[in-house]
Amino acid sequence: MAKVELRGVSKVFGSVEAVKSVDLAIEDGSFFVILGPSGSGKTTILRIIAGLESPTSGKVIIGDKDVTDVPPKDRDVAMVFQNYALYPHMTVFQNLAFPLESRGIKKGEVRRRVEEVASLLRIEHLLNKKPSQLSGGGGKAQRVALGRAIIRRPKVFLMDEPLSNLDAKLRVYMRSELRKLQRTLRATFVYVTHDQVEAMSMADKVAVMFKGEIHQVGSPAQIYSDPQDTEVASFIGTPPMNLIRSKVIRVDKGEADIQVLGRQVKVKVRQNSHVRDGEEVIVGIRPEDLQISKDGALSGVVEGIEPLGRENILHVRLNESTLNESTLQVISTSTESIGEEIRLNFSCEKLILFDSKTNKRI
Amino acid sequence: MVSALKVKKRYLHVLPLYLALSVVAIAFFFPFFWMLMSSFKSPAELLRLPIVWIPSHFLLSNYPAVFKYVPFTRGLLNSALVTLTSVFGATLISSMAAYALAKYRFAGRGAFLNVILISLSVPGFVTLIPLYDLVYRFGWINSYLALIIPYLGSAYSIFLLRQYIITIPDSLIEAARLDGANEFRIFWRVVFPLMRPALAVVIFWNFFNIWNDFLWPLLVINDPKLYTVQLVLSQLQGYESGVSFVGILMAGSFMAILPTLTIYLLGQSQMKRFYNLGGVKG
Repeated sequence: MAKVELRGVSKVFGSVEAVKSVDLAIEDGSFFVILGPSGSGKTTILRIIAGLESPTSGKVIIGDKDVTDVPPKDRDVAMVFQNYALYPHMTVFQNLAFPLESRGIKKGEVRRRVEEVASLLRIEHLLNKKPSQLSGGGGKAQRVALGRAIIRRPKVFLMDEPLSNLDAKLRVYMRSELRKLQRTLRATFVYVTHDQVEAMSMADKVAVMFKGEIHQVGSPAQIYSDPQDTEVASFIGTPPMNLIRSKVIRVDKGEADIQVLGRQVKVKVRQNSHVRDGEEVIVGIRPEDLQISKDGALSGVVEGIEPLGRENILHVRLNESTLNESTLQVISTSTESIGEEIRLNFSCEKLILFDSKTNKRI
Repeated sequence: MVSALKVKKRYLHVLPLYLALSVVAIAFFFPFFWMLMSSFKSPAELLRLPIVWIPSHFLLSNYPAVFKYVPFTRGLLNSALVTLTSVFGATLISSMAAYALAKYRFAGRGAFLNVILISLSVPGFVTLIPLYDLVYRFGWINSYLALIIPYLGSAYSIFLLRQYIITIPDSLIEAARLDGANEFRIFWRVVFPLMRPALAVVIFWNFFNIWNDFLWPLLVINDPKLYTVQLVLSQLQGYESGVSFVGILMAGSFMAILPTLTIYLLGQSQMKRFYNLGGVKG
């Protein structure tokens, strides 16, 4: 097991800067998720850690060793690919044995470890099958790919969206299986996904990436409740955070008076923020922090309803004018109907302020 | 009624295509039919007019006669040695070169590929004299080396295999690299087995060309002990002591195509996969 560090890592493909000076410290034995939309550079980072891509600049450190120029086979990392990359002409046994045979481990030991891993992943009955015969659900191919990764007990496991090809139900099951496996092995897992639910439910820590840059690193709870910029705020959470443009009336003693959502409210600002009187800001509030209340200060009309079973997502068009967004998303457990006029309330503590120019937290 | 009409219409639609293909198939098959039938004919039947298509008695004596009049066994063994060695070498060299061209990034890769493509468009006869000169200067005339070495570099094989290897997902190679395999092991254990359909085509194509080559062995071999089967058969021409060699030549020719036919039948299913799929399936 080992910690992984990236120091100032950049990667340029032609004229495209896929990764921009990324610094990252992944703790030993943690389940670390790199989360971001398609094209954000998360897979490139994973491939740089694996040694499949060399960084244009910067250093990769695994354990205490600088492995920037070390070939993949000598980094002692294993990777589970999005398409599993199982060798199609080999049986499951041969697929699992391949990493051990490649390292010159004796036949008897290979057989013992293949059987041990097959038993851990409950794939003993598949050992004589070829990858093309692994259909029929149960995430069999994923298990074999995982088996091939864990069999040689590497320091670090790298996973590139390994659950993205599974149906929703199996994905939920495999998420918990993966987490269990990580705890059993007490290994460092670096997991790449674009699925925030996957990130939030599995990670010890999440790094959120956009356009080659890491915007925030933190625990899932921190990322959700304390987003550092509007991109993280609007990417995390379903439905995403409501972002409303507003103006600061006055800043005084670490608090800003702002006129927002029909009320003048006081919102805490950070000590180092340079927000001034009259400046435009973005106010964020999570949909679940807006309560439907008869005496709410804010009124609007329900324009759309997305039923989720236990609760509904309401799209509410505000009667009051705002600087940009006039529709809010609200979580509701009661039964509203389209066209119904409702009133909303919220608590000032739940509001988060962002700089309207930099989109950063203030 | 309506569906019967539809079926009829569909058949009418493909009928001209089937007719045209049948004509082509007959044109290809006819020489083989003629050769096989002639190998069982007596000298009189071979010359009789109107043409005797199928012999009245299937005469088997032409077959042992091949071994009597020319060193056919020696020719077969020489051809087998030359062909098997060349095909093995050409397949190995071409597949490695193709793998490098398909999956490695290195300076000059594009230029190298262009040279291969250009060489594909140069007719073999153009390079015959320079190649002969080269072989002569190496002192290989009248040796197996002259028959084997020039066949080892095959631009067609490299190009065909390269195009196939491109379809093998990079992730398999990367997975093997992370699994700790060295570059040769990746090629030999992962890529090479996945190339089977393309290899079948290359093996058959090279086998067919080398086994049947007449001109090159004729140029570089003078010693009858080194004659390939095609050179041996060329001795069966005309008459000798009143014996017509046509029937015997046909019997020898039929026996000479049997190895090619066997190789084709053995690799047929893989070759079909190559032409149908052109990619990797699990």
